[in-house]
Amino acid sequence: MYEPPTPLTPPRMARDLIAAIQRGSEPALRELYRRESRRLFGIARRILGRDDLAAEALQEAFLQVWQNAASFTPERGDAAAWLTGIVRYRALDLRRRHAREMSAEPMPADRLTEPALEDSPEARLVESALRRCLEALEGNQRQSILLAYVEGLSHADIAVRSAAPLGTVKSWVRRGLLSLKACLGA
Amino acid sequence: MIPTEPEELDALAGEYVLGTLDAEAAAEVAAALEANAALRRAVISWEERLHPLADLAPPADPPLDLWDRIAANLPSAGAARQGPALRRALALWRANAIAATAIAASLLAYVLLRPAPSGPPAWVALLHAPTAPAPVWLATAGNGALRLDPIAAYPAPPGRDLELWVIPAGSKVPRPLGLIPAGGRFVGAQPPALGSGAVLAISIEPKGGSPTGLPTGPVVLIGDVRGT
Repeated sequence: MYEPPTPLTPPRMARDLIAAIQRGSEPALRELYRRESRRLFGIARRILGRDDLAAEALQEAFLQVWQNAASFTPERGDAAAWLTGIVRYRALDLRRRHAREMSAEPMPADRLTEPALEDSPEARLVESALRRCLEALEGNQRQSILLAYVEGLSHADIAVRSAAPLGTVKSWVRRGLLSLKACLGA
Repeated sequence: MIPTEPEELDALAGEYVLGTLDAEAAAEVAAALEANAALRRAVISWEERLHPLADLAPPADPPLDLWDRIAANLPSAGAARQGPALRRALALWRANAIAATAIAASLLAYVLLRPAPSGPPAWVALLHAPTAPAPVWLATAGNGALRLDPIAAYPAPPGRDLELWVIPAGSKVPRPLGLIPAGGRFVGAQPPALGSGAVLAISIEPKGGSPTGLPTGPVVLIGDVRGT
């Protein structure tokens, strides 16, 4: 029976590439890199503030994707979120390892502005439930969550940045996460 | 400790995904993911829930030569399939870890109590076969050096070398540390990736060591790095 080819939408495409990588296809890995490296490099660079470290994070992440594509299991819905996770965890590890130099370094110009929901007018974030729920949070809770996710700041970093006690920051983050989850209804 | 109470577990998963945990707590969550399905589901949910925030980082062009660097460091497709083998070895090793505890405790006591001019080591690991708890090497690290002392004879197969690796906490990518000399005594620089939650492993490689920078042969010995 003939089945017409399904047009590949981007999420489907990433899944197909990952399936090919699981079978050991290096061209599939190169194609995934071609499609995703600008987005992923941007994420790592924002967390690390240095191009050389961001490149190191991306290199480790793609090596991990190559060796460990099998960890993309059916219980995961979103291939892009899986990839983002791999890059963010590598970048966060590097940031923790280089923590001392990072706090001493002047911030690059593009990190002088704190992340704000308005920064990305064309992003998926617009009109999203996540944005609506973030806007409903108390200001300190929202800013802590944005600083942590986007810039990779730890509890301690946020405490320094916002001149608040560590315990207060921890409770901002925790209460913010709880409210977000409740608001998103999942 | 990974909490069992669902709300605490979920909050910890959220903080892990957000990135606010310190290195030790993050490594503990990462290490528990494979075995703890509830934690894994909570982490995946948080990754997907927060993922739109990743768009707040403006895309940027990576260095032009980065793909070439990645491609040059890829193990061959055959070696890549060692990944699951290593994970199986790790899973088996965890199952045997309890049996190994008594032996480990007595050796650890020896390491800590023996008089040493440079002070006690900061890290120790006992390397043993994934399927058997009897230790073959004692690894100690501190003051910038990593030493392996043989407990039992374990010669490399003819025409092959034994290569030592560290798998940093929270990572699944082994980093090469060097070849084990005949006689079994190894002294090298203490790798920065060595710390609580890291794993030392020894694989059988072609003479001169793995050509790919990652294990290409079977992982025959493995040991959990513990702080002293």
